[in-house]
Amino acid sequence: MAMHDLDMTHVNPETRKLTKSGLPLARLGYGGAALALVAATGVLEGYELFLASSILSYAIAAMGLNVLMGYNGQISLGHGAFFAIGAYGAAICIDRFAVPFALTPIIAGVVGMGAGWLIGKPALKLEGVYLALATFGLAIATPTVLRSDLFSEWTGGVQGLFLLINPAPEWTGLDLDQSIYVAVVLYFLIFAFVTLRLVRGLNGKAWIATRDNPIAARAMGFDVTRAKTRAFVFSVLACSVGGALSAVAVQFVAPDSFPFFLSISLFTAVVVGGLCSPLVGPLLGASFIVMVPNLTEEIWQGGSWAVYGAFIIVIMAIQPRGLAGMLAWVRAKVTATSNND
Amino acid sequence: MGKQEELLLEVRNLTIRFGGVVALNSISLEIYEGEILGLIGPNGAGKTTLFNCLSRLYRQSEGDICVKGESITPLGPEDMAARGIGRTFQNIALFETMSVFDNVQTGAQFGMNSGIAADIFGGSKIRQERAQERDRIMHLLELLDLADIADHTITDQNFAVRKRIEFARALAANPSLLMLDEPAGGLNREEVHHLEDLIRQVRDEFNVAVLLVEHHLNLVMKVSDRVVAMDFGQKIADGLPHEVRSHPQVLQAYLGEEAA
Repeated sequence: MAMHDLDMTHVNPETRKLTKSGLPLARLGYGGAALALVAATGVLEGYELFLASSILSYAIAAMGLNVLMGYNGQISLGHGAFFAIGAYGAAICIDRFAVPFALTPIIAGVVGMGAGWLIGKPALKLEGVYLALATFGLAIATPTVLRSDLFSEWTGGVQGLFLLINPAPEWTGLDLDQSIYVAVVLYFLIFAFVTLRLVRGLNGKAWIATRDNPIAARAMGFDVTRAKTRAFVFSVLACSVGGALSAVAVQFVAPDSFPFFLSISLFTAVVVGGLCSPLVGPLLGASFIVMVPNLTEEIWQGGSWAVYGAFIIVIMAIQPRGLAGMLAWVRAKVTATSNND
Repeated sequence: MGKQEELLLEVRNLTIRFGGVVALNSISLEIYEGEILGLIGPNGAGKTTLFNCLSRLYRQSEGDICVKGESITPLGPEDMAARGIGRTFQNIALFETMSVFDNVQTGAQFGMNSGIAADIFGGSKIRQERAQERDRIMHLLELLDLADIADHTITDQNFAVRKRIEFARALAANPSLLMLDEPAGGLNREEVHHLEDLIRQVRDEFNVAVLLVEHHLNLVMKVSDRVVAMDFGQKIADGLPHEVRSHPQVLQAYLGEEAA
């Protein structure tokens, strides 16, 4: 009240500048990256397109999980379950109802969000390691539920479901792999935009405040429970959409594709990628969990997981902020040396 | 100064029991608009309990608290900002990973549209609202001599600066009552002197009432318009600083503590 009486126009121009520096340049960078992703449709072929689609699907899931774990500081070891719900949601949509594949992530997202809300309500009473273990319970239960005879009429039981996916209409000139890739890129761009806007908006403030100091957050008027629930539901939405897209990319779902290790992989993608790096972290982390296991198999046949584990340990030892943290460090070094020249 | 002003906050017969211990024993007090009220008392007198009850972190066993005539008993701590009650924390509770600016901004967000859609689409109305908020906060930072470090992280700041940031964060909400929990704790003599000026400056410029819960008697006596003394969960004195200072029960409470 009293504040409004004060002269609000008197803001030192120098201090005003501080609050909006570097924005146009960043926008240009994002636009360029988005264009590059779309342009890659014509450059990549067959297996490369499939790999890229896989990475981007996992990156969508990791972006959501990064909001939960990075920005809001809640640990989940069970988001593979929501990835599975999304994948099976999409599979059933295609198998039973012949839904166009590009629309399945929307349906899967809605179904996943419903499940996330139901599970989140009681689960969010828990914190830290307790929430981690409770969500891990979900991850352990998932393959068994998918395999069970109870739902096998829908899920295909142990056999799983093969998905018959139609490419985009002929006038687009896209083959099947390209159609899938374009759809994945589209969803990725939507999620990238939404995630950025949220973490930089008031919701992001609420998430960080709740993580940093819940008592102070409440004193500032933040609804801590709402902030946690939103972070959880958003992460579940992202994981189910990621799962749906990954099922589309693989054109097949089966219980064995969703072991509890998938949840650990998503966790790994978020942490190795870099907590609180909204876009670059999840992208690098997703590339890590998709590509590195194949790479390590070449380095040491039979011992690939040992190499994979060693990679994780080394990354965490060098830079707790993960690959995104390393990238930022390298970039700072490069600009520093180029400025010296 | 503010003596004959309107009643802002009223505590009526507040009692809190923790198990068998009576932390507050039917205490009553009033805070008027624009006044600086000092709350003193030896350790264990119930000052912090009262403070936490006013910010709704504790719930009373009996009694009522009213702000501008309306009971806040059913409300939670997240509702206090909207009722015009701001606070600082004894051990500083800033958001460690946010910048100075962002910390202060958290104090101003409570009335704003924080919907998912508002963040994602942010139409011109929301952009304008948030831009105005930014300007207001920059102005506040300048007043409290924090503008130069607006983009810095909290981790780099010393204790005294952190206290100022907490002040700014509480003031960003335009409170009508600012509650300060032992603001002089951990400050050196010179910094306490600055704090004294800061409290007065804040009251004068923001026209805000201040509840000052403090061990540092000199500070309280110098800066307060009125002082309430507590001991054993009860009010033992209420009056002008010099009256309370020489009140026999107050002397006894403090001398007794020093002798122990």
